[in-house]
Amino acid sequence: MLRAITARFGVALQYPEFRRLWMANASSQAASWALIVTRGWLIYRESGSSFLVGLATFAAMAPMLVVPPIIGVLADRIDRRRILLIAYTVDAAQSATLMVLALTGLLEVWMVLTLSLVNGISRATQLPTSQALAATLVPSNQLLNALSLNASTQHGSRLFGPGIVTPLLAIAGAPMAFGVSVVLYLIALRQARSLAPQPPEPSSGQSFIADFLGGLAYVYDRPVMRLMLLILVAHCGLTMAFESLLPSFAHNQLGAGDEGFGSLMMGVGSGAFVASLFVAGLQTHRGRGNALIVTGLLSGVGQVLLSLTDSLVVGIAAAAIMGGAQAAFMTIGQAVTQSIATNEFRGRVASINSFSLGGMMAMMNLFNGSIADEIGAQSLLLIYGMVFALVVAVTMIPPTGRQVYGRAAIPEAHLA
Amino acid sequence: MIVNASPKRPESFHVTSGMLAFTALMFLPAVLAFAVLISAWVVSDEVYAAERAVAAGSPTEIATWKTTVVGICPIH
Repeated sequence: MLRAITARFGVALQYPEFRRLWMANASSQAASWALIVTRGWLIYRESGSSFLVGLATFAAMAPMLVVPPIIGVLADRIDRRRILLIAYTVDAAQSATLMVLALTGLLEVWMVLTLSLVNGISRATQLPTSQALAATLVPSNQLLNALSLNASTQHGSRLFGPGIVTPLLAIAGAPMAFGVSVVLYLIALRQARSLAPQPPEPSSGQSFIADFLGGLAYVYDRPVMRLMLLILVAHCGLTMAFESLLPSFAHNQLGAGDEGFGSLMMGVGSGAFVASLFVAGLQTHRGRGNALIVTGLLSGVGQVLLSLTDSLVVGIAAAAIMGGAQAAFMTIGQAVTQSIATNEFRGRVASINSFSLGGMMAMMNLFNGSIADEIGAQSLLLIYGMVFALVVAVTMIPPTGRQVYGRAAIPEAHLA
Repeated sequence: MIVNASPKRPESFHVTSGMLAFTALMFLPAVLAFAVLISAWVVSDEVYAAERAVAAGSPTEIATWKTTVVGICPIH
């Protein structure tokens, strides 16, 4: 039974190199979330300021908008394993610094903020690099499984990392919680060290900027990759920028306040975790296409369902559908782009994915936060959900759309 | 059905209006979001000081864009 489940859902883990990368990802993601919780707890205890807690989280997240374009080019020029080793070493060092400073009582808020930024830069380095690296460690027919397993570590670590440190904070305080992050980053470092070196493709001999623009041109010149990326950007803007809407929705529509917001977010997170495991079980090109259509439509419809309910229980169920469909759609979409990309462009393709999608989510969260009071969170969720379901339906019609959704084969010319 | 070919050659490109629009769409959201966050960071003290002055009964002149950008930013 267990062997059958592993053979279906964890098939990429049979490849030792990918298994090491997956372990490294799982450990480092758990460490990142453990750090986010610990830093927030510590800053709030020291300063009593929610603003400073938000600032620390912002410092850890903002590099995702800036760093990936640079790292994408680097990941195509130098050994991706070496980039990961540097990133994990930096992370282990900054966590150890936090632990020592907390133990000695020398830790001040500005130090935590500075090290949050260091951690954010390192994390923005790891994500596109490990996505590009994962695609080279398994055969192309196992790529979706590999990326799904990677995605499951991201969603699972949101539960696992905070789950470890929250009781520790109550029992032993921040130094021990920072120590857990150090251990997790050292595990990631050890796993990454055991990967074989990944020599890059021969250099194109172009400048850094020309290489970056070449990556953009590479994506633009491949219609399937271009359309997939545009659909993913629309998906992020219309259905995934909900975090600024849910507090108001939980309060005004569900009458559930902060607890309601937390419950909805848990619904989104648990749906995402389950869905990323489900996607790992998809084995055929046709199945992947079907799942892309279903999850794309459900991503919009789940949001419409959420907007229409005034029951917290139904809202949590709709949030789980929405979160699951969103995670599955994003994972399959990224597998589509990476399965088309050739090795010398994988780093740049992963980085264009990271900053365009992250940028759209950040901008729409800002936009939604600024207009939610006038238009209403419920109306925005309803309109965005319907528009995205329509985007999926319309993009299935043209020949390129049929290729994106697995209804037609991708021409060989688009794969070179 | 999908093949991973690995030709080793530089990617040449020609700048077209379509490519410019595509590039703008990829970049602009991140640039705009970052600009809002950074500018809110820069002017937030001034806006908060103006708000405190209004509450204290001595209104202070402040540019509308500054209050707008701080209003939009979720962490300010």
